[in-house]
Amino acid sequence: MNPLLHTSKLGKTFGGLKAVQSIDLSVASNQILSIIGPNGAGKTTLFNCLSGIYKPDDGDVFFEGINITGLKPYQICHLGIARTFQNIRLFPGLSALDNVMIGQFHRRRLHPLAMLFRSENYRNEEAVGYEAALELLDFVGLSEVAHTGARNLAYGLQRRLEIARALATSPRVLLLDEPAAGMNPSEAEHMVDLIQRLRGRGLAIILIEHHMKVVMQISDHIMVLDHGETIATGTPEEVRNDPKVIAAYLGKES
Amino acid sequence: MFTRLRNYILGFLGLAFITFPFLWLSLKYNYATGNVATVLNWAHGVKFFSNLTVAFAIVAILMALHYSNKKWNWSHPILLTLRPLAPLVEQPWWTPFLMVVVLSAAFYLDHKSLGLGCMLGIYMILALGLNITIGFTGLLVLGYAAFYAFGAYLFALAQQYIPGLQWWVAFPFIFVLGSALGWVIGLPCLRLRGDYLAIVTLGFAESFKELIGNLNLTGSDIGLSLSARSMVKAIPGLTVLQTTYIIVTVFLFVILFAIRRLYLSPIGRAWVAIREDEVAANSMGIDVVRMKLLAFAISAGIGAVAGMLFILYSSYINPATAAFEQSVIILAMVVLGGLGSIYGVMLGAALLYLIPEFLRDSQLIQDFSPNFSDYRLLIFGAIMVAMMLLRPQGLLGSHRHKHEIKRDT
Ligand SMILES: Nc1ncnc2c1ncn2[C@@H]1O[C@H](COP(=O)(O)OP(=O)(O)OP(=O)(O)O)[C@@H](O)[C@H]1O
Ligand SMILES: [Mg+2]
Repeated sequence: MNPLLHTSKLGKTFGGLKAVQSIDLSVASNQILSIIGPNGAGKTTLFNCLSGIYKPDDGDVFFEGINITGLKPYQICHLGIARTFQNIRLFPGLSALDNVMIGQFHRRRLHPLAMLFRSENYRNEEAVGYEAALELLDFVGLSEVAHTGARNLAYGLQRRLEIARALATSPRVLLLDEPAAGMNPSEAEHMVDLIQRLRGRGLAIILIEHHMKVVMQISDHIMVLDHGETIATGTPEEVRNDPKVIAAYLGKES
Repeated sequence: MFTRLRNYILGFLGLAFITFPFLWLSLKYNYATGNVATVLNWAHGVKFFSNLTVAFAIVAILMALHYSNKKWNWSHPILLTLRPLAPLVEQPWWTPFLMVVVLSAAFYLDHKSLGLGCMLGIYMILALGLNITIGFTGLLVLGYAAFYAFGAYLFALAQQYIPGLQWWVAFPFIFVLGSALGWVIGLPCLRLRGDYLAIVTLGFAESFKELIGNLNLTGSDIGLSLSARSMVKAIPGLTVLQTTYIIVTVFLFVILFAIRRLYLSPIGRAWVAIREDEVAANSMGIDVVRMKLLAFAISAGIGAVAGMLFILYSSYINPATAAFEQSVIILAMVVLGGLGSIYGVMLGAALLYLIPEFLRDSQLIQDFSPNFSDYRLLIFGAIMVAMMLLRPQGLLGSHRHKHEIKRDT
């Protein structure tokens, strides 16, 4: 299968610290690639390089075979790569629904005059967007709180809302940064279910996650980072038995 | 809303009760003996409060408009008796009704009040314009008055070189040129992170003030003065001032309407997203630099149009219009009323423009300090600090939970 997103020798340095070094990864539609590793391994930094928040110092990122290294975050989003944030970054002053509708922004035509006079087309687009946003909220199980301000949502719901917002950008690749962080086992179970359904929509998913149970359960491939380097890749089975992985995690797993 | 409105009314009455004796007093200085005597004069107090009633009415109307987004709570004791009127009040009839009332004020207000009305309208437009950048998009602008002065000078100069230039011909150009100026100033600083826009606009305003204060073309320190009669063609049967009041009010309504619609559109949503979290907005596909520039350019354009209206009203302009003080006043209106709240910033404009105007009339204050307006800036600064500490969301906070366009069901 052709990879949708792949990198070659991707690297990012902060001062003297090599946060990410020569990472090669690839992910295809309907696939879940998980990235695991101890704290500070460089997982989030890798996401920031993929989504354009950081400009990589080395290597390239390819999306559908096109080199997208160094594009701005919004351009990468337009191409079809969406992400969530480890430290939730919603728009707290907007309702859940508006948060999702922000995700539709780049597909909307921006004719200020059409907006001022509420042209037929504009009204249709807005109504369609409204419905689509409600559907997405329903998909992640938030339809009841559609009109609640994002800042008033419970923590677990905020994580789901981030996913709905990312989905609203119509991505083909979804980057999830610790979506189950801070969740209790039953909430995490729901999250697994949600991620499975996301895969069912044909998305390519890269998942950063600390819950080993979640990772082992749903990943097609796992990539283990330590000190910015790939120390192992493979199926969950292969990675589980890799001595280097066990060494990296010894004493660090709690 | 009604507990708040009730508290507000009670607060107003309490304030009136406490301050009335002081406003009623006035001090008389006896030059012969050097004694200061207090004189009681009911009329002063009554006059002050009858003036304030107008401000109070404006405030109440704006609050009602602000809260009309929410469902009215008819079970509230105060409103229970009015319940039969519910279907009437919940209809959108009263927005046009209010517009008619405000417009027809042109016929029954006296000369002085019409002048206040014009300036109030202009300040409301300025507050609404600045609110787009500071309130919606979260960008601090410290030199907004420069765009106001720019529009005013542009129109005044155009009047001199193109005699008979009508405002309705000029205003699209003024809006576009004002926006273009905003764009040019915004472009270099909005590409950078942080509050460079605040510093750059501040610097721009100061240098603009110096520039127009030193050019012969702009009448240097003295400024430019024109004849109002040639600029505003009075509507038959009305005076020039009445016509100007109507022009300003219509501009206010149109700008209010336009800003409200933009705010509720995807563009407004994007602005708020940038304010709430710039990095997340960028990652969700919003070209942050472009949307910030758009916000700032529209803001600048509206400021310039307000400048044109100021010329129509005062037919006089001098470099003080671009002064830092002006920028601070407009900023204080936005902060006091509520960053990002459309009716809130109009409320802020009403309070901060009208109250000092009325205080100026107050006998006591004139006795104490004839140069009361010198302290305006100090008081505004204190208000801003107090608001930031006590009520950072402003008098009327912004809430953006309204969806006017849905699929018909
Ligand atoms: N903007 C930055 N400037 C300097 N150093 C940074 C920056 N961002 C990350 N780092 C460093 O890079 C390393 C990798 O950080 P990163 O956040 O990618 O780790 P992580 O694998 O996501 O960890 P966690 O599991 O705790 O989320 C850390 O040592 C961190 O201190
Ligand atoms: Mg991380």
